[in-house]
Amino acid sequence: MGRELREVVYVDGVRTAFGRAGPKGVFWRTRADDLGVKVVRELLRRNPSLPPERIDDVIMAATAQVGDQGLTLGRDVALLAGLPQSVPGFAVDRMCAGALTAVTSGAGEIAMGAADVVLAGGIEHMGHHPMGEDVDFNPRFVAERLVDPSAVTMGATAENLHDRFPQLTKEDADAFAVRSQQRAAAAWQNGVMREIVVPMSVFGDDGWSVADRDEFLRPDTSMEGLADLPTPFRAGGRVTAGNSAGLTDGAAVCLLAAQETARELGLAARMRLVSYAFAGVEPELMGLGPVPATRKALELAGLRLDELGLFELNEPFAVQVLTWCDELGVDPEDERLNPYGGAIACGHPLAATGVRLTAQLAFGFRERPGVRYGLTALCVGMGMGAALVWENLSRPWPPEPPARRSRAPAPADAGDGTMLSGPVLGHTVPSGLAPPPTSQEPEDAAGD
Amino acid sequence: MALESLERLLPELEDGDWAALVITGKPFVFAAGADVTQFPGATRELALEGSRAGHELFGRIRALPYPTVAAVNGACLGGGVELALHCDARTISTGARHFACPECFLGIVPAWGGTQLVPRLVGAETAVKFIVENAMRQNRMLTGPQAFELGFADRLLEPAEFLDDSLAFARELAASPSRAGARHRDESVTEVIRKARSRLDGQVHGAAPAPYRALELIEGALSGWSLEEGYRAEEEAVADLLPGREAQASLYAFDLVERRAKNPPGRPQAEPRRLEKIGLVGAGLMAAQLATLFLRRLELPIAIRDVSEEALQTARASIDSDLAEQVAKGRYDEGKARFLASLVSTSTTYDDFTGCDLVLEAVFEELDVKREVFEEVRERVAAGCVLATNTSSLSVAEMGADVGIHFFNPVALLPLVELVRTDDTTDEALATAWAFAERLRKRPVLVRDAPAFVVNRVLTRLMRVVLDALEHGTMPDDADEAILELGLPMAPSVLLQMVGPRVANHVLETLHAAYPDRFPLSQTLQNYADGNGEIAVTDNDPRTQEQILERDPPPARRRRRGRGRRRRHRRPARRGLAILARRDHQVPRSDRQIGEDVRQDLRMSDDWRIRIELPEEHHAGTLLGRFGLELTSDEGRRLAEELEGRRLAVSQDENDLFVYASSQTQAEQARGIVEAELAEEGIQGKVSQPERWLHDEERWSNEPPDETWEEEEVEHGHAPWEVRVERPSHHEASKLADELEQEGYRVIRRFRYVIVGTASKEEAEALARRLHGEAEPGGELVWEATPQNPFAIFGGLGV
Repeated sequence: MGRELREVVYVDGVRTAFGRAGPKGVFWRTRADDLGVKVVRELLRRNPSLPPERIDDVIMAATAQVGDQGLTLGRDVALLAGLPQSVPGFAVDRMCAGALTAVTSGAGEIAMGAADVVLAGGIEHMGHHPMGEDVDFNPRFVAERLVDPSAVTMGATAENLHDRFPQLTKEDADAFAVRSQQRAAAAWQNGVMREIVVPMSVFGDDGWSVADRDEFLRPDTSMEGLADLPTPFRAGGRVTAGNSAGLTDGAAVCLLAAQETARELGLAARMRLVSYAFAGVEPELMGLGPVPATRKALELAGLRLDELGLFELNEPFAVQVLTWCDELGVDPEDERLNPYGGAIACGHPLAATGVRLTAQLAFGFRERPGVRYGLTALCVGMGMGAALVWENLSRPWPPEPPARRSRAPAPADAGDGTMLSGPVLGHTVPSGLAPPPTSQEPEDAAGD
Repeated sequence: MALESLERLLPELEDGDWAALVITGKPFVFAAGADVTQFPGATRELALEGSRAGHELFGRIRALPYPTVAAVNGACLGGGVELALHCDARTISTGARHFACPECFLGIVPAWGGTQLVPRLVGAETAVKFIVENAMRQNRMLTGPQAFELGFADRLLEPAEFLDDSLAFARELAASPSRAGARHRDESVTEVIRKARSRLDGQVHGAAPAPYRALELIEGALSGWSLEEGYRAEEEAVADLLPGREAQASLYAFDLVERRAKNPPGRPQAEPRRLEKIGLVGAGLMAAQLATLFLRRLELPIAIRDVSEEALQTARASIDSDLAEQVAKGRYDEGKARFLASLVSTSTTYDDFTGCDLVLEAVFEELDVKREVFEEVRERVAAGCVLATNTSSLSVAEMGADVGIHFFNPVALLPLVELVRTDDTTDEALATAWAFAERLRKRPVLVRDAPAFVVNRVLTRLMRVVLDALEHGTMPDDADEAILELGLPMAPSVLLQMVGPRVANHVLETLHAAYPDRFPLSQTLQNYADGNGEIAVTDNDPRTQEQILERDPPPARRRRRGRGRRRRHRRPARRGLAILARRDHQVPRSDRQIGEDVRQDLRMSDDWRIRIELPEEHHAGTLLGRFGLELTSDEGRRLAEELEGRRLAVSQDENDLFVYASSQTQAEQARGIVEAELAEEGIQGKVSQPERWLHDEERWSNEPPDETWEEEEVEHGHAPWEVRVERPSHHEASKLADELEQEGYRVIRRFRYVIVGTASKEEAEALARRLHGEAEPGGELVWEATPQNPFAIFGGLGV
């Protein structure tokens, strides 16, 4: 007997402010799981029509799954956040793509019919859990020369990107960093971040304070200021603190639902997950990961890059984004790319970042009703990339469907002649399990 | 330790009802062989006993009545290899990187069955390479895949599940009744061993007994010895060798380098300065090598300063070509090489030296020049920057450097670095120099600020003895041979070319200033340094080998037989390079020509000879002896002494005797003496008129012109003509060598040079033209047809 996959929609997402990792950072005295509790409770508060008991899973990513990020974080956070005991949870890890992997895992549960509503997010307290700490590298890596030694130092992999793409200069990277800071500053000014960032009261050396602003913001950043920063990963290198994301503490979570559940519960569906892909690349060039991941996701979606109107890319290193731009033919200054700035300005708490990207993409969609498709993508240590293609549900659909291409299912008429499906997940069903699905009809997002 | 536990386990293995045995090591190490720390001072008895015990133990493993498998999971050296070979079969991991028998390297032979089982398993050719030649090549090792390829193992397995897969293989063996297959048989053992011995002669000149002994053992193994006989022969061999001087000295050196150097005396506790940028003053050949080394090992910005823009460009080109070579070898991708190249800045000023943490000076050996350099540099750099000199002999203190860091040529290959501490050297400066040398993967050794330090002082003394011999009329070949028979890897004349005569002369001058008696100046070396290859012969009193080596002559040293025959058709010793084409980027001509000039000079003493035809061969022997020992006249004694001193000036070819002289007069004199001698002995001999060597035709004046030296060379299995090709990289040289080999040429490859043998000058020239034609336009191909002189190519590397 056949079974139909269900459309997965993104309802809402929220994050904490991002703090500087280490004793000087705003979250130094705050537990990692408490950051997660805060964003979960805020998400529920913002979506009162969601009865907590209807949440079928809480998936939380963390790269370091020990200490205050241990104890299968999703379940830990669910209980601490006061969700009913009946709501299960778990933890995932794909380093920087942790939160995006939480999203795709949740989407899988929903599409499969195992869940109707999932909370997916990530937490990384890099002050409490410095990168690579407690990692016991298998000596075979060295003994058998399985990976280049530079692969374990992310900054060194960024230097390797500069080596590989000599046309991408330090000046290009610095210029990108300046732009990221400027766009982030504008976003904070324009109230964008108020929609996404939840203020949190934290206890610190100076008593209580409210963490409501990213600590890495430097609106005054200039090319001159960046020019002479040290290059910690290589003498004479090109990667500096100014054109990379800092070490960050933070958490983010989003609410995913089956489309019909969202409709049933009156949840405003902002985006539909069209396709996603993960890809592997040379570990010492991990920053290239989003390139094949993007291509794969586009192919699965049956879309061309120029049909995407918005890109939310992580910015661990400016050069990493530049390589993606270079490979895919996107101008780094393009307004479609990271319109609210990126990790260079706000920081990159590894496993939390993916949901920050989706939250910004959802906001961008809402501001740009003319844009139909968008992308969230990031690179992952040890040589991977993640890319998710989303469809904007905050808009009336255009009269004509996009041209069909390979591997995409045939369009179906909605019946009323005005609504046509975008690409659907149908073709991801393993053959033999289900007959070729008829395409799902995403409903409009009028409730938004 | 491991062996003891194996021994304890054996009774159980022998009595139990087992299906198979798999022997493996702890992670990454199969077995690293015997504990060499027990070898120094070992007696014959101890060696014999140690070898016998191994044979006994491993023999019992070999005799186990069920399949045995050695699972070589990692490093497998010496005794480890021998243990593995006593098993029925072997698996080896693709991750294994050290598979070797280093015994010959240490002056002994594999003596737990290695010399017997290796040839039986893989044949004579591979056994010779594995046991003798790899060991003698600085202990070269095989990787797992190479060992498998050569037949040492039955299965090559991935490391991930290596032991599980090895166990499965053992189960397979246990299940199938057919045990390991037929042993390897080699048809041409004698020939393989003969060739190996001759290669070995060329390398160690008989000085190292162990590899010769190993060859005998390998030959025995494939010549009908039973394994037991082989075991006994190994025991005898190691009992002879281990207590001997060569083995004990090798073990001492090994211990120094491997153990003591890891905790070096004199290393200060101070924290070394963090290095972010390096300055290099001078862009000569040595400096360019240094820059390349720094770049590859440190990956730091390097500022190079030289007064000559041209020298800077040459240095940069040499750095770039090295980087390109690394890319070709796959060590760097192009981006990395590009980045490294971008770290190098060159200038005729010191402007780029700002921010340097260590500056090394490698300019010409002139104290005042160096002093000036350090004064100027000190103005540019921060207070803590370490100023170091690469001087080979001058006083570090006097030139105003903080410390000496003395590298050796060729920089990339030689591990030794002399660190020179002066009275003013701070702990920080020395610690920084030390850390610097170690990051370059060199072995720093602390020396005092004494003239020429240690290595050059010893070397110069040796050189001075050789020069002294030359200046007394000794032939360079003879002087070289005398030194080579000590086991040194390189002849003094070649080494001198490599070091560079100018540098060598400079060092001698420094040492002469300090110790005039022990280091007299040498006009000959001065001539070489000036680019004129003339030996300044002071008197005609050639030194014997014993004199050169300052040791007593052996009681009854016999001249080598057959030498005369070779000599008859011998080309005038190493004639000049017939240079057909060259490019200007090459090293200065004066330096590289020295060997040739030396030899041209010597040719004069070979120009004349007389031939004495005797009725029966034994007379020749008698007469030879008489020439040396029994002549009574003054003239005769003088000639005899001279002949004796020259060692080779009398030769025998069946019933013909030849006496060589350096002039016609001398030859006439000799003829008179010989005739008188023959008459006195009543021998019916015929003494020829003096014959003269005809240079252009390359034959003696009374010989028919048809038999050329070329044919003679061919007869002896040597190629009379050679084409030398220099390729931009080692990789490309290997490739070219392979291609030519496939075309049927005899090819020798040394470093980036390919030397191709041909049968005639015409063929050599044709090939040279062709190879030149294959070069890229504007490339760096240099080609020369040269009558047999592969070593001249190294000339002049050192400045």
